[in-house]
Amino acid sequence: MEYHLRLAGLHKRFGNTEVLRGVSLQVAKGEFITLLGASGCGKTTTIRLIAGLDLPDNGSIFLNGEDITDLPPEKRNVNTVFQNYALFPHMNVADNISYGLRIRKVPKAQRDARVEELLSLVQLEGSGHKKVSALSGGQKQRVAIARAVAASPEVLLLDEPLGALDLKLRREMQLELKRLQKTLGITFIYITHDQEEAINMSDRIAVMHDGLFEQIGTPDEIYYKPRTSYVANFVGSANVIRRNGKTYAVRAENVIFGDLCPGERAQVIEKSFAGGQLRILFKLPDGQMVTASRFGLNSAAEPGDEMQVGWKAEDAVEVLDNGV
Amino acid sequence: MASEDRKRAKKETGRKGRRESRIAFLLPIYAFTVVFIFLPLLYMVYLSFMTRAQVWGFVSTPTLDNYRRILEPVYANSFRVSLRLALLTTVINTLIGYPYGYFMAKLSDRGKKVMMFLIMIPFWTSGLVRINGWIIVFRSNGVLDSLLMGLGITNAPLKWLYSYPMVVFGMVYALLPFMILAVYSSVEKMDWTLIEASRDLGAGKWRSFVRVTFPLTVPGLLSGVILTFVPSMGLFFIAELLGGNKIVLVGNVIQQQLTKGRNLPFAAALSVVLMVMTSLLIALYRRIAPTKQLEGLF
Repeated sequence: MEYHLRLAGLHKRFGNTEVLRGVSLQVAKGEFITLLGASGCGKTTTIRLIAGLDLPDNGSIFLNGEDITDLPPEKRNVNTVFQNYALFPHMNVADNISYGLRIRKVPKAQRDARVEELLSLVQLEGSGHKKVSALSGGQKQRVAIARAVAASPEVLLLDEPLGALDLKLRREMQLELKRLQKTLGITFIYITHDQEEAINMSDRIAVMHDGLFEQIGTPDEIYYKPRTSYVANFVGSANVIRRNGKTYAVRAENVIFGDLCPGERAQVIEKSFAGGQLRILFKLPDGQMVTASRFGLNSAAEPGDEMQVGWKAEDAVEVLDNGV
Repeated sequence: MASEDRKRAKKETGRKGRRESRIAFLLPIYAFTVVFIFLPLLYMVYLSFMTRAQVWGFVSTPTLDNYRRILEPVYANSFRVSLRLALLTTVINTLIGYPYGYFMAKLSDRGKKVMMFLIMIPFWTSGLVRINGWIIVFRSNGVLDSLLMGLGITNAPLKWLYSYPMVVFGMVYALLPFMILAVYSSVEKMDWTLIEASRDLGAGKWRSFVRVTFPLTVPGLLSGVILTFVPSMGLFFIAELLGGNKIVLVGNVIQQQLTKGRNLPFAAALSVVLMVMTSLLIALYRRIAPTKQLEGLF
């Protein structure tokens, strides 16, 4: 099968730092794929290579089977939504959106119609004449997206596009982006460090760590069958338990506790409330820490208490240990 | 209750105190501006409407003669010559200074520092001395002639000095750093992700420059234009030293009227007209400058 976009063994070095250490990925047409990872893991570098803003030291990039590794950015049918939006401050909203069309010498009437269409697509009807500086963060975001899709690219690269927005707006924009991607049928390569966002939006997630993909899979696979301890810990912060030379991931919501449950005697260290969930930190007899989570605020466990802590055998997933 | 009142009272005196200290800080600045800039200007305007005295100074008889005299061909011509020279100087400065400032801003941090240092060196000596340095180079049988004849390129001294191109050269030489620095500072501030965005959207390097970099650095270019155009109307010593008596600028006329002519009121009137002209230019700049970025400069 020929993939829409294929990255083959990309290497990139900046000075003495090896930012990418052999990144490979196959993306199907119309797929929403998220590069998930902590800052500095190489995700931005990966999409800059796809956009042509940087060139790889090694490896190739194929679009529709054609090698585009060395093409300049203007020759690739790939557009980017930049992290800081990068809207042109000397142009109004409509001119920003139609920039790529003007470069391609699309006639004015056609351009204007397209701008109108895009403005309504991103719900900014009637804002074409506005100055970029008069827009709010969320509006700038929408303009940046409209501008990037104006010339109908085959692949859209989005570098933490929602990073600067507040939580509520981010949730709204997540849904909107997903809707937009379905409407346009464009392949999306989306960068985020927020695992919740990745799980919400993606067809597949590529978890990136230290210049490599640790695991590529559907949100379900990543969440329930983490391949490595890093993935288990980074996506949904599962407990990583080391027993008898093997390493297991146990999700916090699967940890059971109480005086009557099977398991081992553990001490409650800390109790905290985050994201609608109560999180209780236990210390096992061998010194390892385990977090359990419960919905709601009430729990009998108080710091200093001792009780039984355990999990069902099927909830412990064996993972490769990469020391995290 | 009582403590709250006290708190409020304290707050109010605090606020008042702040306002007072602000005035105390600004007062010397206002005083300086009034004493050394505003009053002399006012005096000059006043002077321009007075009658010259027989030997030196003026008598307080109001007249418009000084302004009428400016319309005489000799003097009106000096304005024309000045404007033409200033325009030519500015055009050449732009052609050299824009690319120079642009590429300087794209150097490494180290390179920028070195270039900045080199540009600043000439400012450590007086402009007069530097122009005299050029005279040593360009005069008959001077450094340049000796070099050309020594290399066998020419066999007789060439007449470089006292010509219009020589004055243009001197003006460009004296004012180019201002253009370079003005362009440099605006290119330095450029957000280069905008160029990446432009190329990402399909524009090549050159088109990205024309459509994004250039429009965003026009304010810097315009302030460079002001910084070179305005002074080149008044740099009389360059015209005098490098142009002989052939090129008479407004600055030269003013200087002559002050010294040899001993006509203070007429010199004042010429200065007022020159000042009004340059002020109009700056007003025009403020109108057409596309952004407010550099407005504070003038």
